Amino acid sequence: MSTGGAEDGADAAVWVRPDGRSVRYYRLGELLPPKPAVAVVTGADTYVGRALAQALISAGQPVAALAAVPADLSAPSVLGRAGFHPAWEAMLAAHDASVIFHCTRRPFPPGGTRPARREAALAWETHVADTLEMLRRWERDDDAPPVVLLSSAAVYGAYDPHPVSERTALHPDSAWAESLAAAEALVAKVAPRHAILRVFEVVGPDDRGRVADSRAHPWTRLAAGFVEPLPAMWDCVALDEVVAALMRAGRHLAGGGPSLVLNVGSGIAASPGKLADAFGLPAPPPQPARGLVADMACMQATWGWAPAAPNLGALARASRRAVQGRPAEAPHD
Amino acid sequence: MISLVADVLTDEWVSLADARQERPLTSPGESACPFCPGPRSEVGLTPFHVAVFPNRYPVFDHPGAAEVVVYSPRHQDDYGHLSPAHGRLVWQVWRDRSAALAERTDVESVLVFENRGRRMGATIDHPHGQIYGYPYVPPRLAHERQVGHGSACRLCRVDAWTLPAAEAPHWRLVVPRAMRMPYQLALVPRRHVGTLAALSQEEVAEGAHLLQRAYRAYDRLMGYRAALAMGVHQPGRAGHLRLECLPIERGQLRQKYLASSELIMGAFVTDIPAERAAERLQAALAAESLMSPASSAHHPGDPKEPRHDHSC
Ligand SMILES: [Zn+2]
Ligand SMILES: [Zn+2]
Repeated sequence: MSTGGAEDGADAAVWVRPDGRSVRYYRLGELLPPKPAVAVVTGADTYVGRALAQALISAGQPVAALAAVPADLSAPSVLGRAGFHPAWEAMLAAHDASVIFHCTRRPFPPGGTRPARREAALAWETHVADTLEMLRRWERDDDAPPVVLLSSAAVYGAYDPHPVSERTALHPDSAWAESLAAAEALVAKVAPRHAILRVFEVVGPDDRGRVADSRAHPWTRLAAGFVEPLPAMWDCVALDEVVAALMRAGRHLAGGGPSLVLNVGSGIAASPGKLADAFGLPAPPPQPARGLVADMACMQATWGWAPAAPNLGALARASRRAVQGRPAEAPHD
Repeated sequence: MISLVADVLTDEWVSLADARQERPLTSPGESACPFCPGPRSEVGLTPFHVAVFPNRYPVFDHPGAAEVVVYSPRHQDDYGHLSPAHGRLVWQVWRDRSAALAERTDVESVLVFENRGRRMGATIDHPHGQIYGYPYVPPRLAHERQVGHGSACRLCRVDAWTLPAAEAPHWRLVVPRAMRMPYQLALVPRRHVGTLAALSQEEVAEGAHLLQRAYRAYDRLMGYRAALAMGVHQPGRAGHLRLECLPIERGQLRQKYLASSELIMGAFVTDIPAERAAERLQAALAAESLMSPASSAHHPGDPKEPRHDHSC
């Protein structure tokens, strides 16, 4: 083997193959460095996924984002749905995934703007087919990255009496919730280490009094048919607590913690019907009014969190004041 | 058996390489990939970042040459996503091999190129490009020489016939107003140089990075890894170097095919105005400039954070 010169520290060595053809090898100064480990956020263009990606970046965590539409993040991002293999290939060519925050969720059905069967197909495609495709990449891998799944309290269905704990049987009562429950089962069975977070959304501004201008966000635009009569619906999700819970779950798993299922949020999930009720608006058909209160004991025991939302009506009034006191298109932050 | 056949109507050469029918058409899996390191692979077991070897199924071989440039030992890599130093190394290999082939008496013209993606005709997924040493002057080059003969260099006045996609101190990335393929890009050095070998180290570094950005911008624009033809025009002493990217993508996995007009008459037809292509590419390239490959491995676990085990 002879060594020839190349510029800029590159080295060329020649090997003459048995068939007479020669192979030239060029090397950088050292062998390939390990790829940088990143937290992968799927659904980085969604309401929660985008906020999570931003929070991780602000916290100095290298992030790679997977987004179906451009997410405008200052992080390496790859366009593509979570189930789209070329998107993963492009991402994993450059990075190692240390943890996957799987935030890809179908926007909640925008109240009758699409046929229900079409909406059901889309929910199953997003929640189940894409999740399966994503997980299969590591199905034979002993060193698969841990997965944090953003799920929803909707998997419990409507419950009476309150509150529901993580051990409560699931009674999903829509295609959206059924497919999300199926995604939970998939993650639990296929991802060796996982955290499933069932988010209880809360009505009201966050604890700094901020409300998100989600009308500017594509996710809300998708749901626009539903949002218009209920301006506070998405504006008032307690985003910070959900994001903090996701980040803690990521640290928990990256630090070697065992798999877990947790209720997170601030204690209340409100259906569109319940919200309409609280706002004194006509209930949007076809969802019946219902509410759900989480048993947060487990979350509290695990992370020392106290539920912050004791009263839906009071929060609804506060959030309505907050929303009405702001210009309609004021940017978040 | 390789033979050159002349088209009597145009005086253009066509190369016939019938052994190529036997080449592997797909890479069934990484273990069977001929470009992944392994005892029976084309690249053997020696560690490398970039490897070059004569094509096992060449279209040209004395006269002429056909070489394969494997960009990385990693099957999942892509030129657009290599580290900047690794991207530069690929360019250094291109210039090294181009210069070596150009010196041969049986080589008239050198083309460094990549068929990116199976839909572009790549038969092996492993990231790689090729170098042809043509034993003749290929038709497009001959035509460009004839048209440009005796007039001022058109690539020195690239603003006159292109729209800017991205600007850099040593290079321009431009959209030709006369796009032959949708979202076609040309990467042109500001300095009038005719070969990769004539570039300075600074020009190589910046050009290599801009081309990586262009690849990633295409992926961003399409939402998936875009299939494209990339080629390096090295007209030599008198001419002006340029790299061309010709995607076959029209978006959403719709493909631009070369059809009757292109194949029979050599007359190209596109349906995307250059202005719109430039606008969309500018945005995608700007977004990609925000992307810098993360330099340090960082674990999401914060060591100061107390660890709690799930207790429920
Ligand atoms: Zn390979
Ligand atoms: Zn010139």
